[in-house]
Amino acid sequence: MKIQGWLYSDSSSQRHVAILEYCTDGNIKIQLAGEFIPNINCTVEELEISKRIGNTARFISLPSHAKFETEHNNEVDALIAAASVKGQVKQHSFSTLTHRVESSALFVVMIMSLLVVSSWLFIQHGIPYFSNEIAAALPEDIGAQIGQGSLEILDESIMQTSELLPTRKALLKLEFEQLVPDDYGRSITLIFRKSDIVGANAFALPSDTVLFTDELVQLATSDEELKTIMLHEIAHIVHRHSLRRLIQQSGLALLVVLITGDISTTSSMIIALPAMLFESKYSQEMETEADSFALNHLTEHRINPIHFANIMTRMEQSHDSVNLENDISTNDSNTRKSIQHYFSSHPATETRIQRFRDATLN
Amino acid sequence: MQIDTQGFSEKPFKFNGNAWEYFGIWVVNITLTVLTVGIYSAWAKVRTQQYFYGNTQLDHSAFQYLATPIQILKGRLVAVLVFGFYYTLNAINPLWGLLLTALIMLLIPIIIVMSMSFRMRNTAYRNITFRFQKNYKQAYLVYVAPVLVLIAIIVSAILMTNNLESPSAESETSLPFSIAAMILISPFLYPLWEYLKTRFLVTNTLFGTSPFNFEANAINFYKVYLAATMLLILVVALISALLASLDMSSLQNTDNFSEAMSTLGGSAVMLSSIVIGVYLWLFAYIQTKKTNMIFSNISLNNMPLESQLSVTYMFFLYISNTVAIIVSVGLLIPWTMIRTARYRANTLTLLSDKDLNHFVASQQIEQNAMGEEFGDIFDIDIGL
Repeated sequence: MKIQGWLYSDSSSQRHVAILEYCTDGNIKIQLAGEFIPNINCTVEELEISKRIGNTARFISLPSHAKFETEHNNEVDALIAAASVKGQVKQHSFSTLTHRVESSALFVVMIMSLLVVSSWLFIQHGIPYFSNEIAAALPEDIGAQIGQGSLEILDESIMQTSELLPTRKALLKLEFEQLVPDDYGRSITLIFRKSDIVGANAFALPSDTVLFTDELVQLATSDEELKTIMLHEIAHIVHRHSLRRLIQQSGLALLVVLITGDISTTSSMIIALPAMLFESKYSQEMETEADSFALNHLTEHRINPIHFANIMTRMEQSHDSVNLENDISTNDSNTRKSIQHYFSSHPATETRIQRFRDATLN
Repeated sequence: MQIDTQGFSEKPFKFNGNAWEYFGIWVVNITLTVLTVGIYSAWAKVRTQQYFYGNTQLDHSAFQYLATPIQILKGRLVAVLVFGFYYTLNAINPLWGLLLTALIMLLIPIIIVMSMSFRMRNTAYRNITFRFQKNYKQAYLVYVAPVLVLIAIIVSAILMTNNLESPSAESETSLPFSIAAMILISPFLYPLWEYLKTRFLVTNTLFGTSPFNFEANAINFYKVYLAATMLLILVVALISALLASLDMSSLQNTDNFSEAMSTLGGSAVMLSSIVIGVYLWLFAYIQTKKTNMIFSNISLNNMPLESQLSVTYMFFLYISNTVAIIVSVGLLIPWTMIRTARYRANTLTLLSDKDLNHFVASQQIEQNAMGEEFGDIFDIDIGL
């Protein structure tokens, strides 16, 4: 078996036309054409053959550090195959396989579908599952550390001091403490703020704190209504949603880096849009989870679920343009909800209200 | 010091890569990288580099990429660990993150030198590897000194302005103005800095034992920016003249007010697309002219390179590549990489009066991939 190519010595860029010959006994003979240079003899075990990548030139290192370069890829592959059949060399099965997969249209399409399906599964199930597990495994006070300062930021930007009567606040706080499940093991604080910008709304802050706006308290016709919302916000804290959101975002960023192979792309617009879609999907899942928690505990505290439906309906009427992280309202108006649904951090309000109405009937 | 190239023959560069062939490699690379949570990325990088190097030929001999996946993996692991450390530190206390950033900034010249050294050491042509001299002192002079000068200017300017407000500085009112003038001058020093950086990178590179020469001077860099500025002024003047005449005539012809307004709105859309186009074209112009100028001034053993990229084609390449990637949801990325590499190789030639047989290899020294992977992960642009 003969292969034509170039030969370079170990010391200079001098190029010789050469023929590499493989004999079945495992010996290699390299003949240099038209020059008075002795042939090079060695065995096939001593060769170091570069892996095949597409149809790029192959480089064969000789024991004397000389190098043989050839474009005849198929002949080189045949040489390796023939020598490995005889046990003279070990074939690198992995790199051969890689090349075979890379150069077959069928395999490439299959691999691509594998990539799409596995990324999809990872986003759908992997990230939510792992974020839940990781959040549960992290120390209890980590939320407080992460949430440090988030209340200060709110106070400086959109919140003002509450104008509610101290007695009213004290009563609501008392009612709130009774709703916190005993097995949570930590206390959750309820605080009040006035906010013209946000309007009637409630927030679960990472640092074991729930914030009600004065406007929300004024909107309620009974304390029962406020209790349903308290339970929803308590669920966010008990299930460590803000921590999970952080982990989910990191998970998405990791996937993006793996696919694009570039850390700086995470900030680019083409990547940001689909990432936003998935983040709002996770967010909606957490809202549903908080609703379920509230529903379960409402019966325990003998509160009619219809109160949640009532105050949600009123909140939606009171404002339709405010939408903030972890808040309980939503900006979905009935007419344009279908497209917005995908980008919203909350499930469609209608669906949520209906769920509580159904529970009432039962 | 120009080389007389009469009687020289052209030895063209050639790129033989094929978009479909590379597509397969690309897809397998991404899939295995995702499935191995990033570990395969080292193998992926080596395969990609080997594909592009191996398909680039000069005078019928191919280039070879020599780094091994394990080297790349080690470098990547260290860089990722440092990045993770930085990320955590930044989350806990942004001030510490800032301090670490400052520390890494101070190390940039070292990272650049290590990265270049690794890259060159692992590039071979005709069984001879390239090299990069580890001239750390020069690296700090070139990369850090100008930044320090700029910071010194800004700080002294701030101090001077403060002094001006106090009554004691009444007699020295002319000083702050000169400082302000120096700040205004700083952008004009940018081409000079670019020249110094390029010269540093080129002249410290060797092929075997032969160093590369760089014949350009700072004036060549200034010419590129000057021409770009002149062109920008010309284009802006032309467009505004054109728009003025258009608007006047269309407004005069319409009696209806709303119709006139819509004509104005239409021209606003037209104007913004023209502005984006001009911006992109200017970007292509500067990049292309600079690349041509830099490469055409590089020579090896009195054999000069010559780069003949066309601004129009590069502009077309930028735009069509971006559109193709967006429309295909990224699937055409391999195609854009291949056609760009092909065009760049096709426009590059080596002028030579002799064959390329006389280069001598140097001693081999091992080099780890730390610098290279650092530069990659922290997005440090070496720019050559």
